[in-house]
Amino acid sequence: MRIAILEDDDVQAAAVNQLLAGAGHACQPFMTGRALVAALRRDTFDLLVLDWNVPDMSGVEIIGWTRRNMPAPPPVLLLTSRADEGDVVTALNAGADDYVTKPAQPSVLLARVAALLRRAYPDRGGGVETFGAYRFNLAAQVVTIDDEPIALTAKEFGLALQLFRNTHRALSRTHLLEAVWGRNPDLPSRTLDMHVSRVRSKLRLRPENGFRLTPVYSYGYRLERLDGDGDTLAEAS
Amino acid sequence: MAALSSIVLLLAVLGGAATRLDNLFYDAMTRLSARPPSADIVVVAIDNRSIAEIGRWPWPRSEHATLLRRLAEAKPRAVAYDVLLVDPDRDPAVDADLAAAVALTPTLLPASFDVPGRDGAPYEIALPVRPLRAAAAGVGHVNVAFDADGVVRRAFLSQHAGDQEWPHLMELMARQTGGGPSPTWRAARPPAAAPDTPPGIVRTRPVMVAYGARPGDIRTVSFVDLMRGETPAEVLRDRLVLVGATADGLGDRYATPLSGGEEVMPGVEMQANLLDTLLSGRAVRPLDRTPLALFALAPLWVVLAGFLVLRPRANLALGLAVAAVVLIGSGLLLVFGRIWAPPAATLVALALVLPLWSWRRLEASSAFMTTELRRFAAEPDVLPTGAATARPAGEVIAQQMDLMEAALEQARDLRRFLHDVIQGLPDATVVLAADGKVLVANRAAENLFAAIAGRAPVGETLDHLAAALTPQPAADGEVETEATAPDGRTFVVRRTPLLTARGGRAGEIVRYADVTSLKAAGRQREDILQLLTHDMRSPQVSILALLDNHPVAPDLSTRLRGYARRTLDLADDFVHLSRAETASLTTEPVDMVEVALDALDDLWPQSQAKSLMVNGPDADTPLLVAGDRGLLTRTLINLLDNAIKYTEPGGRITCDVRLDESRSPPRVVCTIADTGRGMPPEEAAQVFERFRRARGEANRGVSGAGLGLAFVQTVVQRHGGAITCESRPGEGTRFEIVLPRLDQPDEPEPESDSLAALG
Repeated sequence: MRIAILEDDDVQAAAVNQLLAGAGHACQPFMTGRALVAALRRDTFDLLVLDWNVPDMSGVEIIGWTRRNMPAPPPVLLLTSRADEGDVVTALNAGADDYVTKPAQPSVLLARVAALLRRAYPDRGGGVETFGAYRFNLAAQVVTIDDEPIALTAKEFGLALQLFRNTHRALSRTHLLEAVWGRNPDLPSRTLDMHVSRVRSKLRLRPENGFRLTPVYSYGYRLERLDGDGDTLAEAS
Repeated sequence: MAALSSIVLLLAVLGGAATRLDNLFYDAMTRLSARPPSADIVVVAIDNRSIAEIGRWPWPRSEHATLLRRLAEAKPRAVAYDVLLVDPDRDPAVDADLAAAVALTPTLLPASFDVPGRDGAPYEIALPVRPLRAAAAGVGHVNVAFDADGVVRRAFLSQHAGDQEWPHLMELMARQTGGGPSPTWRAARPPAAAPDTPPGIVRTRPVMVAYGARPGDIRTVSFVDLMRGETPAEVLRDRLVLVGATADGLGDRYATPLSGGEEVMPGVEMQANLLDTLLSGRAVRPLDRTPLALFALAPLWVVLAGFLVLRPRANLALGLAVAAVVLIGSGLLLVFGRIWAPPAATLVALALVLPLWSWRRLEASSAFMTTELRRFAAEPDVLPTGAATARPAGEVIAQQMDLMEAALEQARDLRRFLHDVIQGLPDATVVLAADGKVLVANRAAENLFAAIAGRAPVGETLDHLAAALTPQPAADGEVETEATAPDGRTFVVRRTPLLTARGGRAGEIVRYADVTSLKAAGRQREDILQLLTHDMRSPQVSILALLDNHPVAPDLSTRLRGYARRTLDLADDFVHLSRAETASLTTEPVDMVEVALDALDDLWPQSQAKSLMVNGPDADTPLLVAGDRGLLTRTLINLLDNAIKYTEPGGRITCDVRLDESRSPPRVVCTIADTGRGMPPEEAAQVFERFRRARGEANRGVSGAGLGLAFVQTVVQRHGGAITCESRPGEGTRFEIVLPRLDQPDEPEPESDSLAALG
């Protein structure tokens, strides 16, 4: 996949470039926002990895530019030095598809990039979807863990499927509510939290089982798949 | 007061207390309405000339007989011979002769009621001598009724003595013309008891005599002229003839309403007037008790009712008008209705009630004003200087004026005070009236609106004035809003309703606080945080990236990484703490069990790496608090991170969330305990201070900036909770967070739609 990287610090740009190239992606680094915008006018990229703070244009501004000027804007992963959750939500609400806080763990960065690409360019098949030990039978609406059936309600099944299909991706509350409950608004805000809580406990989505379900500050939830050490499991794309 | 005055008036009217005044009025009206007597009445007067020519009184009875014969020749209709002929003459023949003369014409004779009578009897009736009585057409009484002032206004047409009723001589006379009893006789109802009567005698059928003739007005013929045949017969023919004495010193004389207290009227003329009254039917009838009481009370009641609804001025006019109506009404009734309704008592009552009532009114309003003023003076004064009011002394009115002056002074001071306070406020402040228009504006407000609206604010509506201000979206329920002026200044607008003493809406105070410099300070802080988050972090990130991708001696690489990480953590902790202290909390229902799970999951790699045994919460129901999930999660992460750092591999960490129902109200308690190295109590007491880290040789190499626990404490306190730390060296540390539980009865029920899932 062709990935554009915006990063004004060349050491960090080189590190990201090296990491993503190692995963088989074709990367092109840009030092300024203007250079990136100029490239976006004549070239096509499958994914943008943007630094929040570059001197001339912020990552958020470039997201705005792509939304306004490109018919099919590519997904955007924001790299941010901002440790403050409030800023992260601002970026997500502005249109970023996901974010990674610097310094990024290589596995995390790779997993998020893979998730975004999988989402944007899906390759789906069959009535059964398997995620490690978890097997979702869509026709029967049944989940099994290592062939042990787990009793889920229809909403819990739908919610779990959404989370697993978007592993490593931050899903907004609105997205989850619409995907599972449909466009029927005015649910108590606790409804989603309660269902997430039950999915977490029923499906045992805990680090010791290789999955971690984390809330994204006042935005939504993200399901992460971990390796045996508790680090994010980077998937080959 | 109304009842009292009514009773007094009633007693006065029925008891005749104002009779003298009434009599004056009656006499005046009588004089006004006097009219010549009927020509049918002729008086044959025993006058001075007759006495002079015939001789000294009493005359021989033969003289009377002669006169009666002369009269009979002239053929009058009837004769009333008002001369007492009660003692028999020495010669019975004389009486017989006189009786024969009496019989020639229908002649009526008077009887006398002597009081007291003989031998101790209360009275004695002296009748004409027997032959005369037999010859006469009738015998009547001639008693007169004096009023208290000695004036004769009334006559009683009937007098009962024992079983016998004696009509008045003139009533009998009147019957001679019409046959039956006169209409006046029939109309006059007998009173229960007439005053001033001797016992045994009952006078009934009172009549007010309608005097028409002044003394001498009646056609009069001299006795001696008639006797000598010098009077033409036509003068007497078919007339009603009264014979009586008018000579000085002879017969009876009475004061009448016509006499005006100077002249007196001979009895015979008075009788003539009575006869005229009876013949003409112009008798005046006194009002009966009930109508009399009504006539007296009604005007009083009208005036009293007027007091209730009218202003004092109108009241006076009403009182005067009613008095005039009473007086004129009484006069008209007397002259045209021939009814006597005495007005004086009512007039007197009115004259008394008007000033009395006015006095009561004044008294009441004065008392009310004094009470109110005293209450006002007793109210706590907002102004400390107003306390120097001396006790009122001196005369009552002077006291009231002092009180009034003090109250006014206080009001003036208060107004001044209010003005100064508003003027002295540092922020632009306007006071709105209930209609939304600006009532008062201080100097700062005048300057502000002169700058943004170009006009003075007083009298304008606020919407008009503030049109140039751009309001900022406000959070729900905030009383303060922000607005930006065209010149870039930012104002916090606060509207406070004003209430009247009774709780009604009197207006509003609107304050514009200039927060431009505060905003600038806020922006400066943002800039510092921005510097910390990005500009300080970025080089550290680059260092870490360089270490990842370049060969460095492993020992050096680890130490460089450590320092870079510490710098990053310091920046992060500083930003977090700063946000926790200043950012507004966005609270939502948060399940602390989930928060604990989130924190444990976040640190799972670290606890895993140290092979620590981690016990998570085992509560199976949500324990809700109202809070910021991100801040609360980071709080527990910080505590757990500390626990992991200071616990040796193989140790145990417990993170429990439970509901403490022993407290009231129940609290959510979150405990994080480790079996780490612990610390002495004096150190535990200071763990929440900034930049404080566990000291000592053993702790060297443990990363951390010392802001983590300060953050924890800040967040817990901002959530209305409390945090405590217990620690013992070598045994471990235990943090306990106590948060208020959120009562949320509408926790959504788990959906039981598994059946739908199967279908």
